[in-house]
Amino acid sequence: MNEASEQISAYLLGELDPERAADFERRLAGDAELREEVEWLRPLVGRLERMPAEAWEPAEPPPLAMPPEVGTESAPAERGPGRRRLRLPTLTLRPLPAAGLATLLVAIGLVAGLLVAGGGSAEPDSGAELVLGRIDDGPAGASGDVEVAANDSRATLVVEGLDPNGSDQFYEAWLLDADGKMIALGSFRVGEDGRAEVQVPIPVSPAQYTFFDVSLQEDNGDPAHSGVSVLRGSTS
Amino acid sequence: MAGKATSSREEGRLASRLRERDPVALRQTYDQLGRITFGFLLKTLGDRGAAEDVQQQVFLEVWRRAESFDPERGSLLTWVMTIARSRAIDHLRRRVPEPLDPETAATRTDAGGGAEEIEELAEQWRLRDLLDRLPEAEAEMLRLRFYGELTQSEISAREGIPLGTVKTRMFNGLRRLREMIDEEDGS
Repeated sequence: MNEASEQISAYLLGELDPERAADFERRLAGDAELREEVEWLRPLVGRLERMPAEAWEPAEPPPLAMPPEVGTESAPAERGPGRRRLRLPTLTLRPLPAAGLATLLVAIGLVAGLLVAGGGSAEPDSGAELVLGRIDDGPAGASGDVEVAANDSRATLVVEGLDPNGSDQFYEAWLLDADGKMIALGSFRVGEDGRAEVQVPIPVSPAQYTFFDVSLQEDNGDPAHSGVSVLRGSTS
Repeated sequence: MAGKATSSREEGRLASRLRERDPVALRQTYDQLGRITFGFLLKTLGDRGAAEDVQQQVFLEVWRRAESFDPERGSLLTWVMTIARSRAIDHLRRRVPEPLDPETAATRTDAGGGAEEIEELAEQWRLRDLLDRLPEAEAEMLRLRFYGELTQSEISAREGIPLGTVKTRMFNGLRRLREMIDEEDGS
């Protein structure tokens, strides 16, 4: 970060002493580009300063009451033959070698149980941790893990050793079953360090699916699984 | 790389699934935005019971009007917040005056003062959602500065992070957030 950037935030945050603030304002007067940057950021600082305290610590919302008509419908992924089929032409669920299975596809157990029992010192909302192993299309050394919050509503996915995304690619997290039922959880990109940490919502219980899967997707507007899985782990 | 896995691409897909009447998509939308709309309604209406009722109305409307959401015209967040703001105004207009709880009186009076104040609150809560999409380290700097009311030097001392790192994260966080707002607003 250059000195100008440092000064911009210090100035907008009111952290420059009067003499340095005056210097900076003189500089602003003669530098249109700098002035533009400051004026672009200034309203945001004002909005953050006015943000209500409750917004920083939002209250927990009530559970969602599903609309009455939903009772007569089911999720597309669970409908009968008439449903919109998820396309799986190239997706095959390839089991890992048995030796790898033992080390890679291990579900580590429910920390939530310990918390309920008052034991352990884990994070309050920690739940199951799943270990993801490289699958055929994944680069050597790729790995990941998923920590599912105790209430199953979200998960933190950490991946390492993946190939950096090209400009027209991204990775996508899925819950999927051997019979082709699947649900997309969220997409993310990996940079040069091959690493990413993302939070994804878990709208259904992971126990309803067999695998947590990470696929490499082409940015072609097709929402279906590409069939190119790079990481996978058992949900149980 | 950190933060909520949210993108316009993902939103487009979520919107498609909502239009296909996929209940899982509704739950997913609620998981993503329920805290934001509820926080906004609670602040605006100043009454938890009313906020809970209106919250359900909002997501019922999201479900029933999903086909009217056009990702090309704005984000899902903006669309859902527009519904929340409208339902909040409807509720305040319908409400029969009653003795105010001193704890919430100021909020309710302010919020009931006019659409402009409600609009401002909706904008603040929209900003709150965008904060969640920042890399965690940058969001934390902004939280400590604007909620914790700490200076950058105080953050550095308290968190044991070099001052230069604090300044970098602060500036990058502000810039990234501003870019997100521009993207949301389509500018």
